[in-house]
Amino acid sequence: MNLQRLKFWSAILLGLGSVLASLYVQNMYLLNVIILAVISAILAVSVNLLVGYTGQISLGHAGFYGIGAYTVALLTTRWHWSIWLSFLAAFGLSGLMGLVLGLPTTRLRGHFLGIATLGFGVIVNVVLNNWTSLTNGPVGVRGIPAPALFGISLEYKNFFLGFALACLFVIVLLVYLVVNSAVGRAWKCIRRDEIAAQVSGINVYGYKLLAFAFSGGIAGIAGALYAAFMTLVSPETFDLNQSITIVTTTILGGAGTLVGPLLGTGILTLISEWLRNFHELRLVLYGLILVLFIVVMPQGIYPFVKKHVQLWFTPRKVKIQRGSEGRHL
Amino acid sequence: MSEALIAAKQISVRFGGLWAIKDVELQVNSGEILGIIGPNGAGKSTFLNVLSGLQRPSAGHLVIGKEETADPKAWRMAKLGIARSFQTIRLIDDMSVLENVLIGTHLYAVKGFLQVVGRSRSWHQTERQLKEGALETLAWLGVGHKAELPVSMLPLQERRRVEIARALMIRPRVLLLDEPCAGLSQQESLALSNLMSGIRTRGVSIVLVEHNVKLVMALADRVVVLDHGQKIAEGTPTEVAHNETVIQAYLGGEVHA
Amino acid sequence: MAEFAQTLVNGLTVGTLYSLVALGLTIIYGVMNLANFAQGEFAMIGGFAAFFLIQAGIPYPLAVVIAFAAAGIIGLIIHLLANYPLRQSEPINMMLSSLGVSLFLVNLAQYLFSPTPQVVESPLSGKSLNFFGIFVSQQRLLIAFVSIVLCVVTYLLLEYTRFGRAVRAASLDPDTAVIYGVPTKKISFLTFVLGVALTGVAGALVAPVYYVYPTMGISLTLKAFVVVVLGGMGNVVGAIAGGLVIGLIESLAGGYISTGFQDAIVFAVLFLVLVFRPEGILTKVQGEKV
Repeated sequence: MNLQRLKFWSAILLGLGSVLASLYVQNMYLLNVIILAVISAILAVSVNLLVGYTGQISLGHAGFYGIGAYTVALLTTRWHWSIWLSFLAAFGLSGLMGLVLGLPTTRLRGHFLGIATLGFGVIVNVVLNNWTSLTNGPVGVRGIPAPALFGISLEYKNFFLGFALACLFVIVLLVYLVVNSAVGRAWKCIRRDEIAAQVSGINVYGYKLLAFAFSGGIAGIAGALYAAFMTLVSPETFDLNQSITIVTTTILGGAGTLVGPLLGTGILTLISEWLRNFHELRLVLYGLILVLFIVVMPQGIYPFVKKHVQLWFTPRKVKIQRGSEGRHL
Repeated sequence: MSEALIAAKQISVRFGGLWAIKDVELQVNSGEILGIIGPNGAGKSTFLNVLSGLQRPSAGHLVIGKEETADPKAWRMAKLGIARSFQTIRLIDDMSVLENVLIGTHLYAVKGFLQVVGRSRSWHQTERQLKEGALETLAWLGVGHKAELPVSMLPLQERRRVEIARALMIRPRVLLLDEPCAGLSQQESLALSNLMSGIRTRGVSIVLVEHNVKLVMALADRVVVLDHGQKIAEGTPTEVAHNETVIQAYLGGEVHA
Repeated sequence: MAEFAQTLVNGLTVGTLYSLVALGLTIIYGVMNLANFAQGEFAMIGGFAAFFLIQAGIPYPLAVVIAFAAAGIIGLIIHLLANYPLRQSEPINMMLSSLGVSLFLVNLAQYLFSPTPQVVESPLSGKSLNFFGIFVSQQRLLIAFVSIVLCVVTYLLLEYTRFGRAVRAASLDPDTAVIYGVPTKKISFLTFVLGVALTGVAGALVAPVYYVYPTMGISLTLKAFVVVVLGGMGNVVGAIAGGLVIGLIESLAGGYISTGFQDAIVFAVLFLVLVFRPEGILTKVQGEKV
């Protein structure tokens, strides 16, 4: 119990520390990479709620991401809303879309759900591309104002990074609190056995909808951050590839764990930046590494590492006993 | 005559062209152990699925207390105080025993967003109470010392008990047990049937579907016999044991208690 | 009226192609429980195979046959490296692995062959037939003809041969199939190779109509998924009929609503199907087992 408390507070400290450290990053290129990684991490955390905790695959998360980004872009440039109000709207609208997508699709399972959510992502992308009168089509929306916090303009990238990190940590904290409650128990049970959940009085349909809405809302915040950071949005950012990247990041890192999505984002960002050295071969190798990771550690990097670290520190006798216990994460 | 907790009215279930259950009329009274027996394929499990809301009846309806429903939903039934176990145990293998049992406390947990996120005092209090309750129930069922182990490490009879513990956490008025003694030794079965009596004395009615006819006859207050999806007999164990139709259905005197 | 008929005919010819790709996808899904997101990439492989073979002076019919073999061989390698090691883990992992394979193949093709669309000349290029004012290019007719023949052959293979019975057994209940001596491992790899090789032919067939380029498979995969869901996952007849339906819907939506929203409309149809008949529109309803 005390160990858990120690972990909790050290995580909080780590969070605060990294927000402060963000002020000292000097390299512009590095700043850009880290900010985008933080946004990706928020997306991974968001999809983890569905894929990891509730067991619902989503291959259309770029849809929520795009809705969040366009909400901010359009509200601030066309209707001159304040940026914070538009952030709130992005959260609300994406959450609502999560609910709307969930209404018909939560009855589906496995691959069917995957393909339905994929369809949602494609539809959002097609609408962003073709509803020119609203979204400006493939050109996108420009001139999104940079937000200001307590009179400090976040145009300065170090401040933006600090702000994005703060968002990430607040979201992770929220997810932690919700997941470690009756709601999280219900989600985890739904993931493993819906019938057991039902007979325990859990409204499976309702809880899946909640997960969809919550997850959609968080992805919307990621979109809002993206729009505010880039100051321009165009549909190509929110395509199928993006949706797939979000899911693979989460699953590679370790779905259903708090650390997994963060670790996954970190590792994939590093790999992807390192692969820039290989120019045209970059995505070829990226695909190869992806397959390699899945084949070598299908349960995800974090659970894999955790298990092996634990094995190092376990005396041999216990190891033999544990062998009979099967896959236990 | 005691009060009826569940009344099944003319329940029928059809799979394709086959009637798994046809016009079954049945009542579960408070404080009783009701045994349901019948040969393989008689529709016993299907009937339990109807009672627990997992199988929608093709015709007929259920009356639970004051509520009447023709399309029961499982989680609603749990809310109305009907809990169940499964023949093939439905526990979550890689969670601990305690975590599994806590799933059953869902109805009584604090779930308001602000309370959960703010970790309010009532949240802490309720979580602690629920956890204590779960540990108490586990201890009472004789598996208290294994609360922190992953379920997959427990032997069959203990997993059965854990599943019953989870079912008891919803504070049921009726507990449906689907073949609780399947795969258990005679000794383990006996221990489990003592436990069932214990649960009944705690004020929970039990509907027991079981292959082991002797065990049912010894334990139940009333027995219902299903055959080919129809109710062919109902009464005290002695009445049922001497019923000609029942003896026919079982092909000779296996039933003599 | 003639315009409408023209749209119908175009839709049906494209539809047969979707049927062929979806057929491969659906048998792979049925046997391996794998939603193979790299399916379309094998059409790309088939297309490029045809392109290079024709440039090397090999006649088009032979090129199509070699495309079949090439897709099959690459499929075999991929099966061994990316699918087989994951046969025991959760289905989602194999699906992710297929996404990785797709990424790998598309980008490798871009690296090796450049992203520029390549023109493939077939002996039928530029020729078309005129039926009562409806023009059908001969290549499209060939696509429809070969697709239909391959669909029928595959159907017969699955329905009436020993191999087919084993495939059906493995797809209905793999555990029981093993007990009855069906070599499910061998069957799953044969199915995968056959499934992607058929798609390879599809690629060689469309090449002369739509050009060949590295990303050509992606939209084909998506369409094939819609078809497979429409026809019921794992359902062979459903996939064939579903292909025609999607070809028609797409062509009508493109002709009468908007080409920009074409894909959105196809997916909207998919949505409706999933919501109202998640088991597909061409399958019989079965009770859910508790």
